[in-house]
Amino acid sequence: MLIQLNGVGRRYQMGQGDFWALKDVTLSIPEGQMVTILGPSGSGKSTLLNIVGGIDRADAGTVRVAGIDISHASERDLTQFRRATVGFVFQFFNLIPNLTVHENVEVTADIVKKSLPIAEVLDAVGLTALANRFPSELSGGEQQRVSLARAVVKNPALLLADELTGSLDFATSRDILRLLVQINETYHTTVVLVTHNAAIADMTDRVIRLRSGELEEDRLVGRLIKAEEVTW
Amino acid sequence: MNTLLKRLPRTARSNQWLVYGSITMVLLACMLYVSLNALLVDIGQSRSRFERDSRIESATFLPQRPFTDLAAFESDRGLTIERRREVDAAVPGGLTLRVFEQTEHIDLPVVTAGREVQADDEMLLGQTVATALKVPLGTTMALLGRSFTVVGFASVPDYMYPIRTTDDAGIILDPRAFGIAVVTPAALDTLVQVPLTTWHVRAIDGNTDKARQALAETVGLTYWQDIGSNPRYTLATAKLEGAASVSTSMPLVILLLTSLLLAAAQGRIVRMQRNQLGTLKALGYSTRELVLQELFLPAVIASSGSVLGVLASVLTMRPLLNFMVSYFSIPLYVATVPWKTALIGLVAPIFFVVPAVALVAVRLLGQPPAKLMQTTAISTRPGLLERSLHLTRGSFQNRFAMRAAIRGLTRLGLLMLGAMLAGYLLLFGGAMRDSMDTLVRGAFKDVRFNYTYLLTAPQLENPWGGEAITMAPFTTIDGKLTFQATGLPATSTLLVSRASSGAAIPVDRIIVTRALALKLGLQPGSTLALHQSATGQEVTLTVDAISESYTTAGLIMPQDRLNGLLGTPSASFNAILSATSLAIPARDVLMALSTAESRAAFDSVIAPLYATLGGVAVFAVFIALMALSIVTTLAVEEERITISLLKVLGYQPEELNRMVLSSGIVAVTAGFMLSIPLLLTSVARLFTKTTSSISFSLPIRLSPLSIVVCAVIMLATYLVSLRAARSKVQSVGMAVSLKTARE
Ligand SMILES: Nc1ncnc2c1ncn2[C@@H]1O[C@H](COP(=O)(O)OP(=O)(O)O)[C@@H](O)[C@H]1O
Ligand SMILES: [Mg+2]
Repeated sequence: MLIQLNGVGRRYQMGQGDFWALKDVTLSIPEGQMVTILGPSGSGKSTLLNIVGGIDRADAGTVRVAGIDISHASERDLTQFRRATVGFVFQFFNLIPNLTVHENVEVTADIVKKSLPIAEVLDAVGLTALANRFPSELSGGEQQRVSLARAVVKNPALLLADELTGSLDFATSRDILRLLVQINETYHTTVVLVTHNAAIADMTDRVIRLRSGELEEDRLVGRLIKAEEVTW
Repeated sequence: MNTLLKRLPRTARSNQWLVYGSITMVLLACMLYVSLNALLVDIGQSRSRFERDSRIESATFLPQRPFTDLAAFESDRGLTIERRREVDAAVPGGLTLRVFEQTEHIDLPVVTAGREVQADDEMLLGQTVATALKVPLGTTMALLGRSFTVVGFASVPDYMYPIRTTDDAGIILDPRAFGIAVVTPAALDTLVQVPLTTWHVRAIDGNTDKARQALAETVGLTYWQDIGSNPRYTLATAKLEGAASVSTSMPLVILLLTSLLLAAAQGRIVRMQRNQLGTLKALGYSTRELVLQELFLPAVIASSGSVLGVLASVLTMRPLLNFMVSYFSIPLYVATVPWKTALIGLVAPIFFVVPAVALVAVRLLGQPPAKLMQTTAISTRPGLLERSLHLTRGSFQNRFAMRAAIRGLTRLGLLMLGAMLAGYLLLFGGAMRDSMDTLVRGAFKDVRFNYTYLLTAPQLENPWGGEAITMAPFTTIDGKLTFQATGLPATSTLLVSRASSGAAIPVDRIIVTRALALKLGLQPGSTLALHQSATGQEVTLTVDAISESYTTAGLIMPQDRLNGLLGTPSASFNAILSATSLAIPARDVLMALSTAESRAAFDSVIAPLYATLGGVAVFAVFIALMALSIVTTLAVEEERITISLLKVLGYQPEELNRMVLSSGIVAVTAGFMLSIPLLLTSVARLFTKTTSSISFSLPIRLSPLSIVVCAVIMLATYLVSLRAARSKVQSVGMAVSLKTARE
């Protein structure tokens, strides 16, 4: 198993009381699987993804990813884990504003041993022509693709994407999804997608549904459709 | 790592105002610190080498009897003794030169340019005169009807501060009116029949008291003055000591405040990048890598500022020193920036800025990346203070301005720090001006006579006019301080003593001047034990009042009482004060002094002093402008997203300006207010330290007018910096909030 969550919870301080954004989540994901996390807004999808990606800490339970107990890892090991294992596509893109598209991708390529060729990755997400632009000169969808390229260039064992298609048009989304499937198949990359579009779920191996921070549903779907067949 | 570095020049370029402003601020602070300290060290070293090379005297004296065997006495007592003759020569153009003969053993003239005198028609000209009047070498000058060629410029150690008279009004140096010259002994013989002759002694073991005893036993002393109580030496050293405290404390305070301000500003810039840093950390960068990144720009700013500052002070060292030595006659042996001072100047900004920024960055990056990426620069959730104030009433704009102020409390603190720094500098100039002004006006305002005639003997009849008074020197019991007691007739009108309230003090009291009171710690009602200098007879007086005179340590009392103390007839007098020049026969006059001359000297010196203070003020305004601009620019940067969003919602630029920037005025005012006590205490310490060894005291004054002027300059500076910030508010694009939603 690449990912093993055991009784994971995340608590936020809300005024006087506590509030659990994630409650007792137990699940495991094997290597190479493509998983969709579904759920309404505020159900804890991002929180879960952040914990799995090592950019947030669980307040309860244990999180093992790629053989590392990241819920108890040292800061040093955690950094190493993020660097070597995880590719993250953020919900709000989070590009570095004063670096060009090419440089934004280069920034992550710099810190891993075996990165993919930057030009190839940019080509795959259709950004070759925009390589020298700054983020402020891109549309939302284009920024999203840079964010994806930045995650993919590391050739990570685990690719996490938060609301990847949320701000993309139909055609672009389909291209991106196709790309994800391709990456998953070529490199045996484990992919976890957060979305609120149920149709996307059908092209992945498995659907995990959250409601109010709790695991509501976890079922295998077995790639019912191809990326081209996803509709909105 | 390499790619990430590309961010830095771009960040710098998009924050040019901030970067160049910070560099300039560090540059100025470093330059001030290094220059003043180097100046002090160089002049100090030059002075001690000057004293050594010129074989400065231990004391000046006049023997009662001639020496029988001078050489034997000298070797027997371990002393060097030399006679020096002098004569005053008026040179056309209002200049008086005190012409000395060239000495061989003591108080040697040290040649600073040209060469020593060899022929009898050659002369050395004092360094201060040569500089002030721009006399070139080779000039021919007529002294007492004989012409001399200036072959060199020189300084004489017991005229290190070359003033004509050592009385109260003489303390101001006027190099255009008075200076020194040196000729050969043979030349001096031809200039004057009976020159003024003084004797000088140098104790080889440095024990001046032993030398005095030896001389008193052997030849008797009619006059004795240690070099340590010679104003022509002590005024130079006091000024240097004053410069020393200024050089070490004031610029250090400024350097520290500047470094602190820079550190705080840079720390806030790091905090503004929390989102970016969170992202990079999420992508796998380690805290160490990111902290190093964040240190780069502050380190470049601090180091380039300090390197440029040190460089600037190295380049300006020569002219600065030359300017300084036009106020003291000290040869410049050393004109370098000492490496220790340069090192402190180079390192101090980095020393403060780098750890401070590192601390901010490390603490920030200690948080999980998810948290860093989630929130914008300043917590968007209402804080405790904000919630407890229940900001629900009033217009939205007012509430926004209030909220911005509360959230930016630390930023306001920063602004206050900047205002304090600027206020301190401005007020320093103001206080110097006011204090000098009080000193000068105090010295002359209530002096209504222009001439003082000291008579050879006490008189009972006054056929010459003017006001007949009695004067006599007194010495403190410990022998450390000698000053004049003046006995005024009950009808006196020419010398008015004033209390601190400004009211005239009646002449039937025993009055001590503030200068004396400060030195001896006297209050009204204190008893004062003194020796009469001439006879050694001890007297005890009770102080009735203190007059606000800072220039002269003196004692004023009814004339009949002073006569009683002196044992002269109660209606007798030995001096005359007069508004006009009097025709008293020369044989009756011991000495005639003109206050008008002193007054002119004061005026000619006050002008350049004001110019210097004006320079300080310009400097202050510039640092203030930098400090305030940095902080206001930061305010705009930090509120960027909000500003952008409000623009989208249709807010007008003026409304935004008001909302974002209006809260600053409170902080600026508070910072300025705080700088007043800070300044008064530090300057008070400085003044007491400076004048403890000399016969006058510096009053500390900061007039309401100066405070108002400084406040106005400060406000104007703040408004200028706001203007820059306004154009930044204007330039915030609306897309900022729309595109990169959380960036
Ligand atoms: N920093 C935070 N402080 C308090 N509550 C938070 C914080 N971050 C998220 N939440 C809350 O946790 C819940 C889950 O958030 P999130 O995982 O972002 O939901 P989703 O991604 O499914 O929309 C939401 O109710 C949200 O309001
Ligand atoms: Mg989410």
